[in-house]
Amino acid sequence: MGRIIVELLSPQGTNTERRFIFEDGKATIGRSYSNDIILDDPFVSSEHFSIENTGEDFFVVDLSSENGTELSHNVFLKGQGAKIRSGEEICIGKTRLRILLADHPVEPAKPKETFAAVRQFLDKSSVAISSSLFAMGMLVWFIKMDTPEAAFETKEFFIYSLVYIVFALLYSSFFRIFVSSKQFKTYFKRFLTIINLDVFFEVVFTVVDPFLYFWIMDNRLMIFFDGFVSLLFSVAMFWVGLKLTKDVLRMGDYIKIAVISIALASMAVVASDGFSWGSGRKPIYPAKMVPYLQPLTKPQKLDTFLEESGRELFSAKK
Amino acid sequence: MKRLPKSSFFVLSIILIFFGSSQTLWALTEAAQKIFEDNNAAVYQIRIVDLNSGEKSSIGSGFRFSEEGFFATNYHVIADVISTPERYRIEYRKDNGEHGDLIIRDIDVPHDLAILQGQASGDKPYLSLKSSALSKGDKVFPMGNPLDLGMTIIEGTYNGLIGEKFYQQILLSASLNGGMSGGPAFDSTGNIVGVNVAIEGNDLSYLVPVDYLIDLVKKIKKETASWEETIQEQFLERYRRIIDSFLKGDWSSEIFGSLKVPKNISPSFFKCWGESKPEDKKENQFFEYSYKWCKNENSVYLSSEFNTGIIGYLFYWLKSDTLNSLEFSQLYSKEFAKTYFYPTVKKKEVSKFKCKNKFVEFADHNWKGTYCQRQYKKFPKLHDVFLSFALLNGPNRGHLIKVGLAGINEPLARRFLKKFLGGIEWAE
Repeated sequence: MGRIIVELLSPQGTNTERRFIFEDGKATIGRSYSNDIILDDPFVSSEHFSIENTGEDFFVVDLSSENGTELSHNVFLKGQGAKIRSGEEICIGKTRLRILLADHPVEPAKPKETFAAVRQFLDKSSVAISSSLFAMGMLVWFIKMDTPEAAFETKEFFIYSLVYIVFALLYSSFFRIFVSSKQFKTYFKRFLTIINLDVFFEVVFTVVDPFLYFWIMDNRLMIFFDGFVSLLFSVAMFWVGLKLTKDVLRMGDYIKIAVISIALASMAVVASDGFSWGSGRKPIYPAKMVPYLQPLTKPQKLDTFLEESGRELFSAKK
Repeated sequence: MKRLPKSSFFVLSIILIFFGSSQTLWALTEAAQKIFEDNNAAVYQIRIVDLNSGEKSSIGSGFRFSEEGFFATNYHVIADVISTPERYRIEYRKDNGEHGDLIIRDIDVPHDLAILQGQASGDKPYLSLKSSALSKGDKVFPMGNPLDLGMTIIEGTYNGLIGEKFYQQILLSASLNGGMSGGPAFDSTGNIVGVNVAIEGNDLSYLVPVDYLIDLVKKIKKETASWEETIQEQFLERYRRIIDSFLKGDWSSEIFGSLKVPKNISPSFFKCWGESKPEDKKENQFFEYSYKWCKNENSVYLSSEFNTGIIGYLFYWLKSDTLNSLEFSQLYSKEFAKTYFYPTVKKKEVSKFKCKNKFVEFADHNWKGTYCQRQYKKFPKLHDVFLSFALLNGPNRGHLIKVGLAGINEPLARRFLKKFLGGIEWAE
């Protein structure tokens, strides 16, 4: 008598959702509570099929079910039995099962993937908490630099912190749609850490960007460049997000996430259009200043600047 | 924190036609009574009547000044009729019900005057225009119909002329009210001295001197060309005269930060303000700064959408020992990006600002410079010009220069800018 293992497969793909082990190599499967494996599938009969053995060989016996039992290789049973090999899939109603014997071969162990290690690291609460504190620290420094007048006790300061917290919570909860509640805590921690990393890089970038933009004298080019950098950031965030959820998400989820992200991003762009460079009521020009840097070529004389710029601007009339 | 320009300094001319405040009761002197009785018959309410509803959409005052039936009022009273003649007509009306239609004969936008014509007056009384001299403290009696309450006369004190030559106004201590725009103001002998035009603050009123009206009457248009063309020409003519007088004038200079800059070019035109603050970590003031900015306060009413005709400039230096150079450049960039000296208007009135950005050399140093321009859609010869310069600095110190000219054309702007910016020198 050998043990037999029945795996309940996920509706799509080959992931195993649950695994049942029968030491005596016998089991009954169906919707009725008298079965060894109870299925909720409405297309499965109350006593659908059973697994039996003769000591060496294992058989699937359809118990005259309504919709029959389908084995691999186009074998279809209704009220009959058939011999089954290890690893063979069985399809009843909308449910898929796989039968395995104790001696079923397994693949040799894989070396640990780098990202798996990262995932594990990020799952620690201490990492999420310390990265949040670090990001907050960065923000404090940035706010102080951006508006030196904004002290801890001022209103602006709390508004900035609040915005950060809301943003971090929203982003971290975004993937909740795609993971089960059991996994939620883990993913929340992972994404909190990512958002903190993003805050860190954004702050660093904002401080460094005057150096990048100093010589760009065309506002449209600068907006393009700025947009490009933001895009890079978003893509990087998205990629890291995907890497971290790889163990639960499927292809369809990736597409959904991409569509939602693009929709949100475009809405943000459309909404911001009216406030910033779309309005046309204020002159907007590249105003990044950096200490010590000087023009690469000889600067224009004042009179030439006034004449040339004036001519170019005023001749381009509609 | 809004550092510049402080809104409390922005004492915009509030145009009488749209605004009113509580009325001050004036004890009328005998002179006032006599002036009222002598002249009341020639002073009217001017109504802008909406053609669809048949009701008045705005009101002002005006007076008949010739046998041919000419009336004088403010340009801003009838500006809506100029921009959308298909929607309005103009009517004069008296408390006793006497009324009639008026057409626009000529306008003088920079002085805010308009000449209207009704049917020939026949035996109806009219006021005669002649130049008169006043001295500070003289009594002046403005008449008009405030807030549609009926014809009134008030008493005020003449406080001299203000503004640049050719474009002066009489400053009067009196409380004009909405609706009195365009009404005449008399001296104690009953001669017209000016036309009511604007108020500001408490009891500060402005009159257009009668001489400008006399000038306008002399060269009154024989035929009506396009009003838009006239408005633009008058606007540019005003700038031509103002800038000519600036360029002719002797400019003194003064030290500001590391620069030698022109001192107030024309005190009669520009009003200057300034502020400085030392660095004080305890007060969360992490940099030291000083700025001064100058701007003319009497803008010109262009259309019911906006006033323009402003020239302004700003000198600003800042430095810090507290901030590191990264922090300082963040601050410096932010200050460089701020813009001033152009009217706030709806999108439909102006094109988008277009800017040219270059590294520029003047005052022996390199600057990052920007030249921005936008066009007025209904007045395509007029533009707002804005320039901004930031000194390419060493660590933790910066210098900014900003200049704006609103409602101007390129040659005039260039003439001014060349002398203004060219006169700036390095002083260290």
